[in-house]
Amino acid sequence: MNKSRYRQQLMLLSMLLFISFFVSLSLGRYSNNPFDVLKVVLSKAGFNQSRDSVMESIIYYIRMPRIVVSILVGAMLSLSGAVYQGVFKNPLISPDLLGVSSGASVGAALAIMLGASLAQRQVMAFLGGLFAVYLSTSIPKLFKNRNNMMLVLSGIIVSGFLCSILAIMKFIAEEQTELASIVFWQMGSMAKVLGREIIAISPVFLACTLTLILLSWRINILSFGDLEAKTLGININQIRGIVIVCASLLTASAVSVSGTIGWVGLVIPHLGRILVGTDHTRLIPTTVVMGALFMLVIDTLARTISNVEIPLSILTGFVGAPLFAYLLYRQRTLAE
Amino acid sequence: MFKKRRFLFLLVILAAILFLSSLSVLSEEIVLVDVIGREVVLEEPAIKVVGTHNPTLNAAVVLGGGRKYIAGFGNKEMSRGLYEAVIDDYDGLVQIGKGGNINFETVLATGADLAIIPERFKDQVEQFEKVGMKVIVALPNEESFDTIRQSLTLLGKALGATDRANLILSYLDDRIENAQKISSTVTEKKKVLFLGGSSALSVAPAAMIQTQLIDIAGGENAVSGIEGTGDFVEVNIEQIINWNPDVIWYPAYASYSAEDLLNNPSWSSIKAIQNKEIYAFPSKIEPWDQPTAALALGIAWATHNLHPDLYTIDEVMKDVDEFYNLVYGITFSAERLGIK
Amino acid sequence: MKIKVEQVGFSYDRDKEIFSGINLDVNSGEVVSILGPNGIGKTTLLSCLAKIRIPTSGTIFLNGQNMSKMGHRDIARIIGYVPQTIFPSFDYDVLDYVVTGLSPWLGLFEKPKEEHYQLAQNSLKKMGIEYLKRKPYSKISAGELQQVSIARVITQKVQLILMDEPTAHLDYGNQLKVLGIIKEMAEEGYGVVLTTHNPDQVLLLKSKVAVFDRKGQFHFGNWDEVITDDLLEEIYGVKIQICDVEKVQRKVCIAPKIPKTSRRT
Repeated sequence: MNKSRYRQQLMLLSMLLFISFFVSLSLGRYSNNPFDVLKVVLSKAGFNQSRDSVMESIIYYIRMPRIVVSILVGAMLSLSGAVYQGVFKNPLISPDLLGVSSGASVGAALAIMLGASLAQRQVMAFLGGLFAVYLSTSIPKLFKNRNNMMLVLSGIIVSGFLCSILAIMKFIAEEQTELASIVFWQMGSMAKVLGREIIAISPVFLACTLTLILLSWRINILSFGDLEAKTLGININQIRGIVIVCASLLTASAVSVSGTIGWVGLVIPHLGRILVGTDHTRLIPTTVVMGALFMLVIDTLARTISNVEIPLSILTGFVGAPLFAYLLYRQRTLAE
Repeated sequence: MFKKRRFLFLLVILAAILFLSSLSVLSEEIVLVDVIGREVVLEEPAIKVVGTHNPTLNAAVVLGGGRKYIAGFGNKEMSRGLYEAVIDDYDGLVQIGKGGNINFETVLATGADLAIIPERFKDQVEQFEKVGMKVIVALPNEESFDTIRQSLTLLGKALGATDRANLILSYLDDRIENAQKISSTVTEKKKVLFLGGSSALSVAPAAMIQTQLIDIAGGENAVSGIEGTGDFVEVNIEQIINWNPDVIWYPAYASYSAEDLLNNPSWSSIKAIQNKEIYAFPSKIEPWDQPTAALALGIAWATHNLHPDLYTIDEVMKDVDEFYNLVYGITFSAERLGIK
Repeated sequence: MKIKVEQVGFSYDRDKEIFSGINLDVNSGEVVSILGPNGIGKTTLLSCLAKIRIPTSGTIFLNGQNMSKMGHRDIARIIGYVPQTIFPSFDYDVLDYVVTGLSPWLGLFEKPKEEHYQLAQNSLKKMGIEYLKRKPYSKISAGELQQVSIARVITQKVQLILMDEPTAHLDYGNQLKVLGIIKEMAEEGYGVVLTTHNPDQVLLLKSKVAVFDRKGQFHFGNWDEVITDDLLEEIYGVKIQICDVEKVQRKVCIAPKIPKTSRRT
C-alpha cells in the first residue's frame, strides 16, 4: 500500500485513540455523564463556580492515571509481541517467549507472601521478569548454540520451571489472603493504579519504542533469513540482542504494573499486519497505537460493565480469541 | 398365695421393662441430618474429629473448650492467637491438609471417628466415606446466624455434648437479642463497608455473614447490586466512592492497614475516610466476623462501634470475658484482643 | 579487489570432512566457475568465501586482510551474495527490496532516504527491469527475481559477486541472459564466482575454473587448461566430450549419447 494511504490510516487510528481517551474519561461506576467531566474541566479553567471535588478527584486521581497506564501497557505489550514475531520469524510468538510473565508472577507472588507494599511488589515483578529473560538467554550461551530455535526452547524450559515454582508458592500460600491475591494478580488488573506508575514506566516505553522504530528497517532485513541478513552485513546477534532487551524491558514493565495479561501481544501485531503489512517501519507505529486503543477499551469495560471489577485476562481472552479466529479466517481466504 | 404370684409377676414385668429400656439406652444410635440433607448415623458419640476449614472446625473447638475433640487440623494460622492459648501443644496438632487438599492416610493415622467439612468442600464426602470415615457437612455456603446455630447443634449431637451446645447457643441468642434491642432504638442507620483481608478493594457482598452482622448492630451494608457469591469480591475504587460508606471495617489479619487507606489520595473523597471512621474488626487472636460462636462477640463490638453511646466498651469487654470464660475458662486483655 | 584462498578446508564436527587444502584466487574482472558433482561442497566453498561458513583450516585474504578478523559489515561492503533461491516472505515491492542492498553502508539506526532509493532505481535501470520497481517481489517470475537479486548486489556497491547456481531455476533463454550479465559485470571490473552444474557454461564464459572431482581432488586454473574429457568423465561419471564445433565457432561440451544404465540386462 502506498505511503499516503498508510499515513491516513495511522492518522485515523490515532484520532480514534484520542476520542476513546475522552469517552473513557467520562465513564465509570460513579458517573457515566460526560457533562460531569466537562464541568470539572471548566471549573479547573476557572469558568464554573461550583466545584464538584469528588468528581474532580475521580477524574484526576482515579480515571486519568488508569486510562494512561492502560494505554501504555497495551502499547508496550503489542510492540513487544510484534518485534519478537519479526525477529524470530514466527507469528505464533507472544511477549512471554522468554518467560517474562512467569518470572514476573514469581516475583509478585514472593512480594505478596512477604507482605510487601504495592510498590515493592511492582519492583519485584519487574526484576522477576528480567531474571527469567536472563536465564533464558544464558542457556544458549552455555550450550554454545545461539540460533533462534535454541532460544525459544530455553524460554520454554525457563517458563516451565518458573511455573512450577509459582505452583509451589501457591500451595504454601495462606488461602484466605495470599493465594487470592496471587491469583488475582495473575489475571491482570489496573484497579490499584495511581499516578506514579506512569512515571515509572514512561521512560522505558519512550526509550524502547524509539529504539525499535529506529531499528525497524534492519528488523525487516532480519526477516529475510539469516543467510541474506549476514550477506547484507547485518550483525544478527547484535540486532536480536537489542530487540530482546527492549522487548523484555517493555513486557516486564507492563506486567509489573498490571499483572499478566494474555492475548494482547499475540493478536494485536497480527491485526496490524493485516492492516499495514509486514514492513516493520509501518507495523511498529501501527501496533503501538492499536495496542493502546485495544487495552483502553478493555480496561474501560473491566471497570464499568458491572459492580464487580473484571480481571483483564478474562476480557482479553474473551475478545481476543474470537477476534483471532476471525483474522485467521480472513487470512485463509486472502491466499497469503 | 395368689397375691404372692401377682407380686412376682409384676416384679418380672418391671425388671423386663427396666432391662429393655436399658438396652435401648445402650443401643441408642445418633441419627443426624447434615446441612446438605445427608443422613449420617453414628453408633455412638464421636470422640475425635478432623477438618481443615477453620470456621467449621471452630465449633468442635468451642464445644470441647480446647483440644478435647480435635484430632486433626487444617490451616493453623488464622486463629493462632486464641488456639495457642487454649490448646496444649498447638503446634504438635496433626495437620491433615490445607483447604481442599487432604491427605487421607494422615487422616486415618489420627484415629479420628468423624470429619466435619463445609459445603464448599462437599466433594470430599465421597473420599472420606471411601476410607471408612463418617463425615458431616456442618456449614452451608450461604452464611447466616442460623447456620451457626445449626452447626453447633449438629456437632453437639454428634459429640454427645448437646447440653454444652445449648449453653453456648443461649449465650449467642442472648447477645443477638441484646443487640437487636439496642439497634431498634436507632433511627439513622450508618452505611458500613466490610473489606476483605487480601485486598483493600475487595468487599463483602449481601450473601456473606457480614451483612447480617452489620444489620443486627444497627447499620446497613454499603455494598449493593452484587448477587450470589458467599465470598469477597473485587471492585474498583470508583465503585466504593459511589457507595460512599460512613464506616469502614477491615479484618485484623488484613495485609494492609488503616494508614494505607487514609493516606491514599484516591480514597480521600469517601466519607468514612474523611471522618476517620475506619476500624480493624477484632480480634487479633481469632476472627469475630466468621460463622462461628465468636460472632457473638463480633456483634457486641459492632454494636458498640456504631453506637458507642448506647453500648460502651466496658459492656463489650464484659461480654467478651463472659464468653471466653464460659467456653475456655480463660480471659484476655483488651490490648491482646486488639480492641481500643 | 583480490580474494585469496590459502589451504582452506572445511569439516562438520571434526569427522565429516568436506574438503581441504584448497587454493585459489579471484581478481577484479575475473570469473571463476566452481564445478563438481552433487554434494561435493561447491556451495560450502562459496559460503566460506562469503563468511557464511567459517573454514575449519586455512585462511582467506580479502584485499590483503584476513577475513576471519573482518566483521560481516565490512565484508558486505566488498562482497555481495546472490542466493540460489529466495523465498519471498515479505510484502516488499521490488524497489524496497533492492534498496536493502545499501544496508552495509547505512548506520545502525538509519533508514534509506531519497538518494538511496535513487541508487536502487539506477541498478534496476541498468538491469533493464525498472518497470518492475513497484511490483511486489513475491509476485514476479523466477527469472525476474534473479535479475532483481543481481540489481541488489549492484546497489550494494560491491567488488566481488558470489552467485549460487544462478541458472538453476531459469528457462534456457534466461540462463544464457544471466551468463551475459555475468560477462558484462566482469568486463566492468567486478569479480564473479559462481557454482554451476553445467560445464558448457564454463566454455561459454571462458572463465577460470575451480573443480572438485569425485576423488576429492581439487583443480584450479583457466578453463582450457583444466577442463578435459577425462576430467569431466571423472566428475560426472558419464562420457562427456569437448569438441570444436565449426558452426558456432567455439569449443562445446556435449554428451555423445545417453549412457547405458545398469537397469538393462
